[in-house]
Amino acid sequence: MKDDELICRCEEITQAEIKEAIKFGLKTMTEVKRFTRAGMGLCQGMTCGRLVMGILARETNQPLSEVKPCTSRPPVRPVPVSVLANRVTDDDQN
Amino acid sequence: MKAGNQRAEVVKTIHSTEVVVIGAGAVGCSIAYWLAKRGKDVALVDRGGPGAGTSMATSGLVWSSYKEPYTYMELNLRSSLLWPKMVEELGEDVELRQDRGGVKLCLTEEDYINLEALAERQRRSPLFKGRMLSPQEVFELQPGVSRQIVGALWSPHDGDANPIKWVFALVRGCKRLGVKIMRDAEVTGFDLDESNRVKGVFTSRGRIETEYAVNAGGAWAGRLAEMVGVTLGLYASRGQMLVSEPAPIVCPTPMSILRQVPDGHFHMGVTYEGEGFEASSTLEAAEQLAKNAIKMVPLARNLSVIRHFAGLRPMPRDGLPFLGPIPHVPGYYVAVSHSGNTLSAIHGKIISDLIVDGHTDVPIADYDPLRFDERGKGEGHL
Repeated sequence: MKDDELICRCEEITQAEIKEAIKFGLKTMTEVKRFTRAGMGLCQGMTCGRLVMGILARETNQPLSEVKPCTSRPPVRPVPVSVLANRVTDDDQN
Repeated sequence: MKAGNQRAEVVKTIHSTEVVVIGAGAVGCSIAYWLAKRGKDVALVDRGGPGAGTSMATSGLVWSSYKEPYTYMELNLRSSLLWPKMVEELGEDVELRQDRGGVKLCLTEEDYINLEALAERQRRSPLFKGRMLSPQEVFELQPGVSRQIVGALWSPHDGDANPIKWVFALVRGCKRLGVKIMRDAEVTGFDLDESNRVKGVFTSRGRIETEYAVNAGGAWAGRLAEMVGVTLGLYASRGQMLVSEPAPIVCPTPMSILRQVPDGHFHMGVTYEGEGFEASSTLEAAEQLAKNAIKMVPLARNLSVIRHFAGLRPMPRDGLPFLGPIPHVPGYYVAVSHSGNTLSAIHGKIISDLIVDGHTDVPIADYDPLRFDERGKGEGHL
């Protein structure tokens, strides 16, 4: 994998940027995400999460199994605001 | 604290410094930065990494207008005025927006009447320049808002910033000034001498020798205060937010509750919930935030929510900061407030003034950290 390769396609973050975050002293997936924005876009890291974990494991010399993923937060897929707002109404109709 | 002294014999001292700042959120980072700028040798410790707590779950407002009483509004306003100076010094773009002021919408007549009365109370301060806007004036500033609104409170001093970029800019500033940043170092106690003066801080990584300790622990500050026998009168409260996919900019003006950030995402929130250290997200809150967002900006209904998160905020029982020394524990200072993002700038100035000069020109009498502490008020404390 080259340094200029895009890791997070949603936010257009390269491997070099992720390495820079680790060099800055960041050690967890959540910290790397916040620093670089990798995993903060539309897919919320579904595409790049595993790649970032791999880079983090390699750069910090720890086994991949030791790297914890980011906190899982809803929604799993993007949900329109209107659907969330009408949640109770929808339930009532069912 | 005899227990502390006994432990000092067995716990290895890993570092020696003049000031230990506890908590690497916006407040702690700013304090460390100011102290280092004024020549102090500083260690910034955090149980996790920089900004791992509340600073990454804040709404990002740099705001003063609706905070009461008016003296507290003034503290926030003074801090807002310090922000651009610090940003310039740090030399980084933290997406600080103060050029359009900020609006708080009135969705009902009642909202309008209440905010108008609030603005009148704030006018006791000569610094307050806020005023009520007509719907037409609001539409000019904020084209995306609902045509049903009754008006808004606008202040030229209100604005927002990217809290994540702010914390990392401060961390870089600290590093440039030689602050030692010690991560994954959870504070477990304080080492006090016979006269109760701070001489060290115990952490999970070892003891740090120091003359001063600053508690900037945010939602967790109460525990750090209890370690020296002080009760702050502070609880942790959950706040939830929704983040939408990016959209074309229709709300360029910083706005409380629902703000469109420069890259187009809408941040909806935040909820104010009860006491506790539980930080999960709930569907009830998502519904409430979504409904409110549509009321404020109707086209938000078509956007998708990509993330729903929650964070813990420090909530002082009277809403006001805890700011200043603990006189019966010389060397121990507290800097905690609900508005940590806005106030981070001035908290840095105040604590560095107090530690370096022994006094500050910012009025802080209302923010005595001991105001809820029955033990601290009595003579028999020691």
